[in-house]
Amino acid sequence: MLMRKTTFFDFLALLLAIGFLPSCKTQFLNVRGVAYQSVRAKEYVGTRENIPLDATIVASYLVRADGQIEVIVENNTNSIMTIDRTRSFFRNANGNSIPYYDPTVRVNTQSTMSGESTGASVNLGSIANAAGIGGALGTALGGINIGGSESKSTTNTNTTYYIDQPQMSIAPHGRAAMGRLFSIEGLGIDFLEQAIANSQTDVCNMFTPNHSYASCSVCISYSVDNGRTFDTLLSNIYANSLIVSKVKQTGQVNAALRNIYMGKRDALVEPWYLLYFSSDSKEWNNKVKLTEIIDYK
Amino acid sequence: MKKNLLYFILIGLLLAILSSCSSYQTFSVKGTPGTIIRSPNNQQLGVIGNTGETKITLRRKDGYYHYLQAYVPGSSVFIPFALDYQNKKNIVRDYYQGLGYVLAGVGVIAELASIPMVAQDSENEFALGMCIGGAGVSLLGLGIWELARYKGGRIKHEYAYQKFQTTNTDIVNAHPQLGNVEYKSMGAGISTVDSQLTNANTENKAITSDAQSEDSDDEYGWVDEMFGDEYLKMDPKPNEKLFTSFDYFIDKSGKMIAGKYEFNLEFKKDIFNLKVTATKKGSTTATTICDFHIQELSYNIDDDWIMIGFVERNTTHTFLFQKNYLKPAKHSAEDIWSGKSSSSSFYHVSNRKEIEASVLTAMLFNDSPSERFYEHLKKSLVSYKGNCKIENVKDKI
Repeated sequence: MLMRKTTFFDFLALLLAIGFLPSCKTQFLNVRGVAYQSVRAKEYVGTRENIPLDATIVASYLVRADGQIEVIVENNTNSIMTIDRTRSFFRNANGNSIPYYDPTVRVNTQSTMSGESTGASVNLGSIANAAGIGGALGTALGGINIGGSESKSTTNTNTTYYIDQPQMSIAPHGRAAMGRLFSIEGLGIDFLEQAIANSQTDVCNMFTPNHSYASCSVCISYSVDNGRTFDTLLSNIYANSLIVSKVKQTGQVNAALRNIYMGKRDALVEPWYLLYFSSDSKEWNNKVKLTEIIDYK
Repeated sequence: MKKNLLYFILIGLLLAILSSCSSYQTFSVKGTPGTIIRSPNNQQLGVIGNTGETKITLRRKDGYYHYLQAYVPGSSVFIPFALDYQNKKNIVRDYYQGLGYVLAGVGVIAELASIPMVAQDSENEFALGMCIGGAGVSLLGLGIWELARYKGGRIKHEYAYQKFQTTNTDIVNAHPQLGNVEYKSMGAGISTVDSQLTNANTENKAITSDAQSEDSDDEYGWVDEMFGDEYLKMDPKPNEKLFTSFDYFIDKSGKMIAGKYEFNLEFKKDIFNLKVTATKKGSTTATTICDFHIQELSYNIDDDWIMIGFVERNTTHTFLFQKNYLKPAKHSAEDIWSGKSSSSSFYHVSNRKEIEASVLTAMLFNDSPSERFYEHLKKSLVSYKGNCKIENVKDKI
């Protein structure tokens, strides 16, 4: 018994030593740099208080951290506003213009099948489901078998069709989303990650609307006289700054961030900005000021 | 007896080390008393007291916070500050995880080995003990492993926050104003107003040749940062007004100097023969304050720098800039010469008093100069050195 105890203690001591072996694997944190970009409308409006009372239409542009832009339109009149989405466009920096109206019909089919089958046959119902064939045809296929074995099954199919509306109406003093998201090339976390990775030195640049590395225009066609005449609101959104500040010494991240503040004194009051930390760790690594960028007419 | 003592010491040591493996990290944040420290999701973490610092505790399992936010009561912005860290291995946690692995493995092996023996002889006490003990050891191993993982915060990376962090409230104004804004006007076209000018609380300086001659170097420092309303025309004509800029700049102490003058850059003959006029706000009379001729005496320094001279009357302004980055300076001339600065790109290295030169700098080397201007500059430099390479910074990104 004593012998066995001794062996156990020796064994435990051995385990203590062995326990250190797997602990050698280490993955240190590496924050590579901090990047900043800000976005403005070419004509700055500021906050909603600056919108004149007699404005007809107010557009809010919401830019997300991934660089996608969403447009919310607000009817500032006492009439019903009609937005013509076939003549409302998103234009990106290289001049490509895409209408907000998408004539493509999108279909979403969900099928469920219940039943039992015997033998090694192929049941065409499952093929129909896999192929997304719904409705009457899908149900009919559910009963067809190959290989002589038996199958009893029931297929329930729900098909939803998404059809874009060429026009939409907004109630007086109401608001509505334009319905499509577009990506602005040069904006967002992915771009800043690349900017940090590709920059050999720090970069601090301010840009004018005509020379910006990331810009877009949104044209909204609207009517407040039941579609008899249409007017347009044209807004130009552009990135007016790009700052990349590399972390010079491992772990000294705040020094890099302070460089950004030194390079752009108004960094934190831009209508929209994205502050991004390039790092192996993805928690809490970016800050987006998601204030809406406003334009009106 | 000795073995029992060893046993207790061993177990006690294990428990003591395990309890020291904290799930939290604590550090101090220094800053202005009263400053509120918030997490990225705006949860209040602490308030800096009269001692000028506060202790902040963060859970390891939340992962690495790249930044926190500082809010000075009454200010208009939350100011992010990054959290410095050091690479630090969590040996205790790693050890226990390793130990957990090994115990679990050994326990399973012992259990598996005992099963045939138990099957052969169900009365075999040793085999039964090995079977039950093996299961216990493997459970103990898994428990230690999970406990270490939990207490260690389930993190993927090894780091520890620096013991002292600083807020950035010292460099970000409590009420920063948006600069270089083209405001949307209410029906009268676009008005170009710089809010920083109208909001600057500093004393306005008269910008005339006489006024400049009275200003000392110390007062005006040098051009550290400048802004303009950058719209350099793509195809300018002789004597055409190219550019309008309100005068202001930031002096050595970081104070913004707002002026009462509107500056205009005009062509005299071509892009290399320019003049700058100043018009006092409210006046219709423009005063020519400097005529510039770009001297083509450019040359390289260490293959990275280009120097261009501008001649204004009898004064030469020399501008030094990095070849690949044409934009206004962010650092002082001394930094350049002493080699302290590596990231900035454009420097005014002589005649610090000449504020109009800074305006011209902002105008010529604005944030995004036109391609035509690049072409002109390139030709000029090439005619002298032949090897100067000037690229738009946009192409570098």
